[in-house]
Amino acid sequence: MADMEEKLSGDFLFDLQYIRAGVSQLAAETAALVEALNNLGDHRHGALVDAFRRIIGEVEDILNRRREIPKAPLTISFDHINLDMAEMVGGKNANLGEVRTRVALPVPPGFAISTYAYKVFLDYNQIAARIDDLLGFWRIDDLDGLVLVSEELKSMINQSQVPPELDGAIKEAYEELCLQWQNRPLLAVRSSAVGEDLSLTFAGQYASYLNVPPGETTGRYKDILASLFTPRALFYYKTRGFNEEEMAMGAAVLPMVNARASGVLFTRQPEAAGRDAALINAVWGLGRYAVGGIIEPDYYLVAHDPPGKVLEQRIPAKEVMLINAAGSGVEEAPVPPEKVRAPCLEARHLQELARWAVTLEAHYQRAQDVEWALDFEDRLWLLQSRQLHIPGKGPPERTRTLKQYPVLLDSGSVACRGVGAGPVVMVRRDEDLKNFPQGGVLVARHTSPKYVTVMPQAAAIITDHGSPTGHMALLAREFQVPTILAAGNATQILQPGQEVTVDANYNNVYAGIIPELLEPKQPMSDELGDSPVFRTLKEVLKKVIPLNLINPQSDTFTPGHCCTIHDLVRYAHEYSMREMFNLTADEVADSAEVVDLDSGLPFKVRILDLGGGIKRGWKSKVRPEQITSLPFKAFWQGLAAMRWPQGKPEGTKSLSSVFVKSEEEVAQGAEPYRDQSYVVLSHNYMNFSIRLGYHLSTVEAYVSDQLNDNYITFTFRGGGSTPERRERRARLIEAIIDSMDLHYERKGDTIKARIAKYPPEQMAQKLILIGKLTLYTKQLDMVLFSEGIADWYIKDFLREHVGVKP
Amino acid sequence: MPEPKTAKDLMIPLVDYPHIPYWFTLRQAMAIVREAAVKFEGYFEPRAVLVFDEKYQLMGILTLRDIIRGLEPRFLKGTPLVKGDPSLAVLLGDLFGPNMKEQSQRPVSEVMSPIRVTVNAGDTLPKALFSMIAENVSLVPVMDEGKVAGMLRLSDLFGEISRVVLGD
Repeated sequence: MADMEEKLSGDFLFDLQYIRAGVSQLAAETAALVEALNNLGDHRHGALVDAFRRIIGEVEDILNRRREIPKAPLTISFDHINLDMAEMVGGKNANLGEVRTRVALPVPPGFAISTYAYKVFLDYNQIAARIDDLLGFWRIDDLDGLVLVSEELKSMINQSQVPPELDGAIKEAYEELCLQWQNRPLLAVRSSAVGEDLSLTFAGQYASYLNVPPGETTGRYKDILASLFTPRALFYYKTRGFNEEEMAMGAAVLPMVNARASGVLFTRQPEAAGRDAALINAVWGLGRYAVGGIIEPDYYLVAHDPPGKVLEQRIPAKEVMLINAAGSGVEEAPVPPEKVRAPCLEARHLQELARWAVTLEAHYQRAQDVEWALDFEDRLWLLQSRQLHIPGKGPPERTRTLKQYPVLLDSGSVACRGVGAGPVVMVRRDEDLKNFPQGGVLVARHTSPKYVTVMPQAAAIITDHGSPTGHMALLAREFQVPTILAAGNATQILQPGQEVTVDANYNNVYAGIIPELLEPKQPMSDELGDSPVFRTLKEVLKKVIPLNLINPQSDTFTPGHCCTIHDLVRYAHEYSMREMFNLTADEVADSAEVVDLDSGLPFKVRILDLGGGIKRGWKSKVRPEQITSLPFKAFWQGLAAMRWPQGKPEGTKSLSSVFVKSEEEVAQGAEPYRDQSYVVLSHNYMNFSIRLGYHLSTVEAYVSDQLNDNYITFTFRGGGSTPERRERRARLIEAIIDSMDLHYERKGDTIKARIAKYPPEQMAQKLILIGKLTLYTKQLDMVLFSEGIADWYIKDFLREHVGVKP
Repeated sequence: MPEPKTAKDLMIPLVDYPHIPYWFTLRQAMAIVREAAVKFEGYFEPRAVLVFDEKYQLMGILTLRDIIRGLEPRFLKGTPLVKGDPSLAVLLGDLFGPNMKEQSQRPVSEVMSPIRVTVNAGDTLPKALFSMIAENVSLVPVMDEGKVAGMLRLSDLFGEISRVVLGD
């Protein structure tokens, strides 16, 4: 539970699979608890089983809430598509249909292959269940596993057959397209996934094919389906937390425009969104080179009004271009010498594109990112339109360059504002991405959407080439990684491992880490907080964390009033203790297994002997000396060696303080005050639930001559003081058990430690120390006023009890 | 005319004080006092550690003076002889000797000052001041809705008074 709450804070990368695994683990543990209680209590707690089923049912409903793929024709003409049909045809198609039918800008006649066709494809080949299995198999942090799963999924799609009815529908739709286009064109076949190009960009994640002969359409369609499962697409999907079942893929089929020039239109600049100016990039030939980061495109900044008035322009040399190859496919060709330095667009084109920008913004009420092509008949075509991601805030007011620090680079285009610092990591090949360190600064010659796999851990990105309208730039903005493109010769100037500070507000890269530039990182909340996985986690947690059953004496302390898993656990815990220890006095007299410990210390302990833990002849109270359980003896030795509360002065009044836990605070998860501990014993075994006020720890141990069976587990949580002080106590415990060679993990103020397979004498030594530590930390959180005091208390314990010399 | 200031306006929140359970030792308390002095750059301004019971209820206040008296109980009694000549205090015991280590194992509850008086969050400053002078204490708990919410120091009240008297 603590772990899931931590994820909710938004600083961690996780996916739906994580939530599912967490829920099934919780469900399994809770089920075991409920069942154990029923066995103990002669099945008197049937109502709890019902409550358990009800709550788990509710959680699963949340987890399984998913979008069904709507039933639709297999292909749909753009003339019959609008934005409301995104689930039916995918985002790209929906936008193309919207622009063609409702905005009336020139989109070529084309058709969508619907998401329903994808379902038909999966059903026909009977592969849906296998895909689910494989996707469930890998975890987000397992990049190697990711590659394997991706390979297998892709080959599964490739070996599948396109159903004959779909093949027929595609051929029919092509004939209709030919009637509208008035010849028999080659085609562009492009991905149109659900969610793609809508509120989340999936820029460049999926395959698109250009200049496809009509007969090869179905083959390319299969390739597009397979691209759902490339590693980077899978990664992107998982981090944004879609149900795998929601990865429905459509395809857009358009006639291939014979492009003289192509490019991108941003209806406004992402970095200066307040200004009514559109940004246009253009290259000769096909547009892929304008977004792929291969060459530096023409750059025009034009006003919305008067439309097309040039505010800035830059016309670099464009040595190569991508053109339609004879027959099929595309190829790179040299740009004729007279056109290398010539602008791709003339004033009238800029005017028309600026008018598009105004029209699109008026229609969508949002900035748009548009792909366009100019054909040899001087017609402009709109090939794609999608929402443009604009970062929320403007640049902070600061001088452009901090003169007092060594500036390594000071040119380029900002793709995502922000400041990041860390060691330089050169990425030359895909393999370099594999071990990309947390907080590294990615430096590469070209941009590549493949870098998305390391964006969550990259502090910043710098490339020698590339353009802010490219795919990678969109992704960088999505992940809010400070990014400078076209920085010139970053790969030569920067050295691997060198620490640099990247100021992507002003295109500056400084040597060293400059704290005054590093602003607190903007929370990802507007990104991740909006994503399905986050919403799901929030809703699931509502069914897990809140505690409604507080007071065991209350009338509402019943299974019927359990609303969350926490309630169930609380109820089961309370009643299992009652069942186990047969709380009524006359029963204690009858069943001689439960006794109270009479130690003379202010410590209420009830003992359940499973056999062999206590010397024969005891009555309803036992002295510690009468206990023969090996782990208990050792643990007790440690406990008893410490100072216990004593000398509470008679007649001193105590005043309730703001730290005393109110019922409301307990309801929100604060530990209630408890002072009854329980221990279950046998000769070799001990399970001790220690309640010392607001903190609770559990020590379980098995100690015998079979050293392979021996273990100790130690969990610790709670505390009455402020979170910082509790955190310091957790740190103190961490430091001390670390010196005792225990394996441990800490989540918030919960610590779990374990040690196993030591000989009995050494196990006993550890138990003595854990006993001492248990008492040493009683109420210690109260004291830990500062880190310095925490350090003193760590040292003091190590010196006094572990024998570490200062 | 602005609202007159109340105890709540001048109090220091409980969380800003060092805390200690009543059953901890003087030795443990000393570590806290020393570190707190470091934290406040040598000037240990709260000048007290608050003593709580297991339920986190306030039981008393532990001052430097309390700790030192706890380490050498005979200082408490004094004798006419020593009072006449404080340099004779060396006769009283081994404040820097082994006995002191032993004394440092005493629980805080034996030497702390119990709470003698409290003020309410809404009390005016003159009322709070009167209670403190009457009880001869320089630090009182401020009660808000039945719970201790913070501590009011004579020094802060003095600050207010001096502003008025000195006219700035």
